[in-house]
Amino acid sequence: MDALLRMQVLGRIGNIIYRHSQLKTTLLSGRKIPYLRLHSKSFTEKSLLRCMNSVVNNDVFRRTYSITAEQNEHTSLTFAFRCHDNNPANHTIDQEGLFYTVPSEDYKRYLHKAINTEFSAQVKVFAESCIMIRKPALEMIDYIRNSDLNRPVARAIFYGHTGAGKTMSLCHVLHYCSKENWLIVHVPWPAKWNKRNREIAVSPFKEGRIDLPLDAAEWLLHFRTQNTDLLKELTCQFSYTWSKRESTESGTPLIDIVDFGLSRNKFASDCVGVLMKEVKKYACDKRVKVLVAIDGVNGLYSQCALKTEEKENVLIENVSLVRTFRKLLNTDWSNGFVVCTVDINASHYSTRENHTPRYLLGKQGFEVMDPFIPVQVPIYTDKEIYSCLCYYSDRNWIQHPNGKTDEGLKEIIFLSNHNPYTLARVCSSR
Amino acid sequence: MAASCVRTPIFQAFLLRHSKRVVPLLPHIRTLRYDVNHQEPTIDKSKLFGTIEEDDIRRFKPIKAATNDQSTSVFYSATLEKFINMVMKDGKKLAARKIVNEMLENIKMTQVEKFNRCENEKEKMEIECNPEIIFNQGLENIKPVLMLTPIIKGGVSYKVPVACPVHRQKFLAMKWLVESCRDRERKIPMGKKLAYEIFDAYKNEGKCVRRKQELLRQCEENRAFAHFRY
Repeated sequence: MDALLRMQVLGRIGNIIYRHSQLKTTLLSGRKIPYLRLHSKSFTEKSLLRCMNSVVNNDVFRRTYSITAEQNEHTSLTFAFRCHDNNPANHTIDQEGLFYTVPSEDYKRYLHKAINTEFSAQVKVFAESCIMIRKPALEMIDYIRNSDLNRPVARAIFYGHTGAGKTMSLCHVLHYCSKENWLIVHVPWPAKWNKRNREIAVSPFKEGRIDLPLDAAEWLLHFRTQNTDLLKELTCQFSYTWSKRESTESGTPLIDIVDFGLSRNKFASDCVGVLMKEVKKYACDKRVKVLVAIDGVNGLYSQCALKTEEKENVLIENVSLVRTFRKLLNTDWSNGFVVCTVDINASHYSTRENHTPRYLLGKQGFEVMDPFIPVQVPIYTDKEIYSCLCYYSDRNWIQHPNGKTDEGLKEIIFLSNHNPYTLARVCSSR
Repeated sequence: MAASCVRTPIFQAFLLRHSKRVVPLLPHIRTLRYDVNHQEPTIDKSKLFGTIEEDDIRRFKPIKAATNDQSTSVFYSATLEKFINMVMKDGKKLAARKIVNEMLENIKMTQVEKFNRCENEKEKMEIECNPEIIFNQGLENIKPVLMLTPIIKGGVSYKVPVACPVHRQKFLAMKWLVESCRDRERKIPMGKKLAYEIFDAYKNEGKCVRRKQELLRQCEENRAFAHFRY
């Protein structure tokens, strides 16, 4: 390794150690340095040099480290937390714990509806949308990359405790597939359709079916925003008659069906059904690769609180939107990938004891989804939580002067219990 | 002697256990329990682990028990804890704490957004982002310097302007803040309403500051009676 570079890097690392009082005292006393700071179990000066050697050879560390040392001159949070590669296809396990910026056009197009209210407020305040690169998302992207698309479609499920980061992992995967020009069928939160206050209509297509005109129209708009280009290319393979005067001939672009559903809410749910049928056919004919992303898939198999006009309970099987998306979960098509999350909040109140997929999906859901690839989304590790706190500090989110000291950080980490969501809530009032 | 015995918590606990009806506990049991000699507890962590000097008063006098609100946390703020108590209704401390945290969050969100989007370096320096500083400054702007007390002279009650003691100032400022928010539209969350009021107070505008100015105007009008105080 270059001697000059070695000197510079030694100097820089020495800088970090000097500024960080806890490290300094532990070094001076000869005690072991915690994993938290320098990515290794125990240190003496010799092993520090050894670590430094191996670490500087890593390109990413060299780039990010040289920038952040100047940025974070005055805080004790001197840690490289930014990844400068914004393409999810290039993310590897070396960049675990770093934040990458989703460009604002991509955010508005693909992720705008995918995230919860707290994160969208955070995006507005920080004036940028950054997602942390974590193991579960990287694992899922790996599976998608290496899957044999000739075989029947593979299903994968993110599961974990509330606030662990399942939706954010899904967003990362969504961003990756959008960059690879896949057709995205993304359902943000199907459990919303089970609530009592939804506006329902009797389906004109089949007797006994219940339509959700406004919800279907909302979903069609979301689908259109995510896949405008692909929808303009692809055309109908069958012709459909909506009523005596309205019909769609085969050969019209799919985007026309979407626009028809948006203008005529009465037929919006049927439009969704028709589109999914076309999309499946195109996937099997190898025209497009399809990603089906459903956040809270157990909402499709949980109790429904809707009531008809005659005050009768509606069975979830009779809701047309639910039927359409359930069909996508079957393995009778290929050239695609199904990524879902099971969320405890998507189930009915009486079935919220456990966060595991088998319990939340129930007997019926599990029989449909089995076999699937389960990917657990754990709470933050020490490295990730420290990276997150550095990011918050950089964006001026930790305002309390004691919040940036060691004691303050220890307290914040303890209060949040390494849970990403709770960390955001705890830091919001400091 | 009997009265002071009834007010001790031990006696109250005895009553509760051995009575068939629920006996209501007397309010303000802490202020009644401690006499003048009792000292405030030490909360500062750095001072807790040091040695006490030979002539330190804590060696000779009894010390009050720390309340559940007080903590050695680096984020502890006595003003905020008092404010949480004033926002609280029906003893729902969790809800009150959540509301005050939301207030701080809302203040911070507005200011940090302005800061992150600002391009001008000079303007950036002037934007205050710390919600606690904004809250404290807002309270300072609401605190009245004078207040009116009723003084009876020759059978007539006069409203006499008098210097407002510090603890009363703090109380009035917080009370007016909470009251003005409770009067507002019900659909907006309390945390947001408080944030709006604090922002107005920080700029010396808004309902609470107007109320303080109204009080000071009345004091000015009644200044002829000021000598009634003595």
